[in-house]
Amino acid sequence: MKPLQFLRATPKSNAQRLVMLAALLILVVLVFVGLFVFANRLANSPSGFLPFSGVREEGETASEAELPGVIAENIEPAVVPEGIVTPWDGTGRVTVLVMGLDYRDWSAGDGPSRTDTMMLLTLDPLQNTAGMLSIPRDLWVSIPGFENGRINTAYFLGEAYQMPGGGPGMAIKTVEGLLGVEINYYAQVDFGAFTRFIDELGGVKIDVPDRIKIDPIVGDPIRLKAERQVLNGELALAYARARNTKGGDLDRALRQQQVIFGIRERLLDPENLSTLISKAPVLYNEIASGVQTNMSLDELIKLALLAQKVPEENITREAISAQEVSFADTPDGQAVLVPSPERIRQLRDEVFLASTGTLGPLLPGTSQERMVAESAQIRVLNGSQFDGLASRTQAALQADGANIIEISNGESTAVTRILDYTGNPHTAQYLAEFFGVDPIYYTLEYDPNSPVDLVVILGDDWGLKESQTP
Amino acid sequence: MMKYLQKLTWLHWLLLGFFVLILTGTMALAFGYVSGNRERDTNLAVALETDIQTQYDLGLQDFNAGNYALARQRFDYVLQQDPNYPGVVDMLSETLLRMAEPTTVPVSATPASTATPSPTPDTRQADEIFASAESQLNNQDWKTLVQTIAALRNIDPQYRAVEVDRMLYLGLLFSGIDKIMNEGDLEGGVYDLALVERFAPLDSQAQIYQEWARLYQIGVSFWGVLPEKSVEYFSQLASAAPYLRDLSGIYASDRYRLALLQYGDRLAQMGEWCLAVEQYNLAQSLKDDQAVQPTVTFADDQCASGGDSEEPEETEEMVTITPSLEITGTLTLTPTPGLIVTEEVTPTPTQEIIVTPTPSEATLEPTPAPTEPVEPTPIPTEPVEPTPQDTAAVDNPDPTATPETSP
Repeated sequence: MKPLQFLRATPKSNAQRLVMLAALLILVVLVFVGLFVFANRLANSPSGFLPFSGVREEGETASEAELPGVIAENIEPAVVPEGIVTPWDGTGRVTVLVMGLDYRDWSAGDGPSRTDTMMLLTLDPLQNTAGMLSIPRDLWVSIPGFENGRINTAYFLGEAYQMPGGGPGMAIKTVEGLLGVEINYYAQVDFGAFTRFIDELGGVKIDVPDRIKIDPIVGDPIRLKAERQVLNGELALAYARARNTKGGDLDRALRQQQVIFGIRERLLDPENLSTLISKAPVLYNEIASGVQTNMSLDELIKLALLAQKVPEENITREAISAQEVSFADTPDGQAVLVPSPERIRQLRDEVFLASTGTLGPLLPGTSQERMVAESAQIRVLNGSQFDGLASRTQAALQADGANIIEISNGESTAVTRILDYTGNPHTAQYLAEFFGVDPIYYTLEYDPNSPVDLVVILGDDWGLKESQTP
Repeated sequence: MMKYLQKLTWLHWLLLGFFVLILTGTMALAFGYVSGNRERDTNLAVALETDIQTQYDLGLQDFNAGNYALARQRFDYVLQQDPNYPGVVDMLSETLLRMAEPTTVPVSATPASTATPSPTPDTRQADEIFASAESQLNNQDWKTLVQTIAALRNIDPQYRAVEVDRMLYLGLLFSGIDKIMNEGDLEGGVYDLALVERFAPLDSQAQIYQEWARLYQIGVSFWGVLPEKSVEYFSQLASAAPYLRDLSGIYASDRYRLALLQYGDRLAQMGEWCLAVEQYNLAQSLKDDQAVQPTVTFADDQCASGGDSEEPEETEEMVTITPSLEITGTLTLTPTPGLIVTEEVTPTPTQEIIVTPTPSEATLEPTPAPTEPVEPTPIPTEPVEPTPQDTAAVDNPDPTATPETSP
């Protein structure tokens, strides 16, 4: 009998039908139970997402709770204290602090660890830009509630003192205090998971710029040639951890970024797509078991989808390097990197203010067009010794589209001043450019009930300039 | 029923089975997901409750031990998680009072920070969000205003751009000032003001606040490493903005005094007794600390006997030394010796502060370092307590002024 003919036939006996019904019933029960449990666990995130709080269960040692790769069976789901992190709104800029723990602390296993790696990743989905900023471990910083210390001890202190948010919470607070930007998530990556994840991807392609000696956790040290090569998980980890180069910890930050880009390249490679799909469950398990984070699975997936849309040229890569620090020793002989806040601020702005997204001015047009659109009411007062200056200035400003509602005389002043009473940034910007006013002579005296939006007091400086203009 | 079943072919059975399985699978996934979410929420609630209780208890321990900076962080956290938690408002107020003694610093103990936005994407219509923003602008709730505007722009970036730009400008400006002047979040404030500069020049008063924050951050970057630099920066702030504080809650005036003591210790270590005495005396003039007095007396004696550039030798007989913020490795805070001096000194080469231009491998021995409870002291200068409404010294033009000449 051909298969199709068989399908058209009916079962010959009631017994056959009963067997069919029973089989179907059993199958239904099995499928229901299986998928129910699967969905339940998925929603409950039972494996990778560790508690955010630094508070340990009674009897639990620090090493049991904090060491990467050791996943307790009875862990609680992530607790995200909103006072510690600012939750991501789901569409605006999102920033993640990625941390790797110190291998020596980790392998010792007798207490909280310090961080070995700290990297800030930020993504602006609206403008499709991203940035990464590496922070050296020896940076000498203020740790909230504690004395100044190396930034890698912030995590340790948070864990050791069971501070709200634990090690990650204290690390986040410290980095926020250093850079001033809000951090929404943290991800603490375990060594083992990192290497296994890269192995599952088939290794990462790295352009090794200079011959370098690396020391894998397992096996003897080896030297990598200066060439593009595929590194397996173990070698990629050793490459990212290597410090024995001229630039030490600072060079290492750049190597770590190279490895992250290598992973990104693998994940986005179309030729790799079928492999990735077939290995998705394994990769998910590696992430779930080896990454401790306050991110939910939904958020992780959403972020990953957003991140893959950002082209490489839109990703700013920076590291706090020798230009942003000075080298010094503490009185007890510790070698530390003393930050230069001004220079670090410039670096931060390159990464975070390259696109201000929703937090920047979005009114289109030139300075003059924006001023016209704002239509702020301006009063012009002549505080100079030049007769008729306010009238002439009014005419010039009105020609540009400014909304001058009144001119009058004011108190005499040598320099031109701008006073903004209701907050009119575009008009203030335009007027400052028009008169060449130093920002120190621009004052915001916020009074929402003021009958006028801005007042310009013309000074002798403007009178002189105006009189010399043909 | 059986009659109906008898008519079914194998194909029907197969399709039926397939359909039932799909239906069952979908239902199982849906039920499982909902049930998992409920379990997760329950677990979260239980974990959070335990966490809050533990943090409150640890906060009490820190408070009793005088670790006010740590206690404050814990009570802040408890308040944010559960504003109705019994006793936490009182404890936080008490902690803030202890931190501020004997000065009065405008620090709010109300759970203002609970206004953290929900992580759930805001799906309200832009009009409604805009109305909320207007209300926040009228109430001068700047921080929430910035969050609301961000939410609005996530929905529609060009929505009423003129008004929204203006609101955001004001929100960022005053939120930045508030972070610097009231919250101790100096770098966060500086960042907000950097965002403001994308709109318009920073107004003169905001520039002053920004400058103070910058000075504090530079001073603190040298903390414990180059105390003379810390002294340089905090001396400026101690007179201009003595109540400026950082996330640890340490006021600029206290930073100045402690930096002077650190610098004095450093000079004493180098055998520069007379210079050390100058620093100690200056610090003592800001706040008379009895614990420091023996060190001052000893250094003074050394200076008078011409003991400069001689390094002390350790003996059994130790003299009290400047209390410092040195770490002890335990939660118990004790005035720790930063320098041990004796009556007899032997000349040794002057110890230099090492600042090398090359990177060096740092030693890795982290030690917990709880901050010494700091009791801010008023200094002779008048405290500056600016508010966002403060104005610069620019005369408000009198609109009723009679024109004397042609305008």
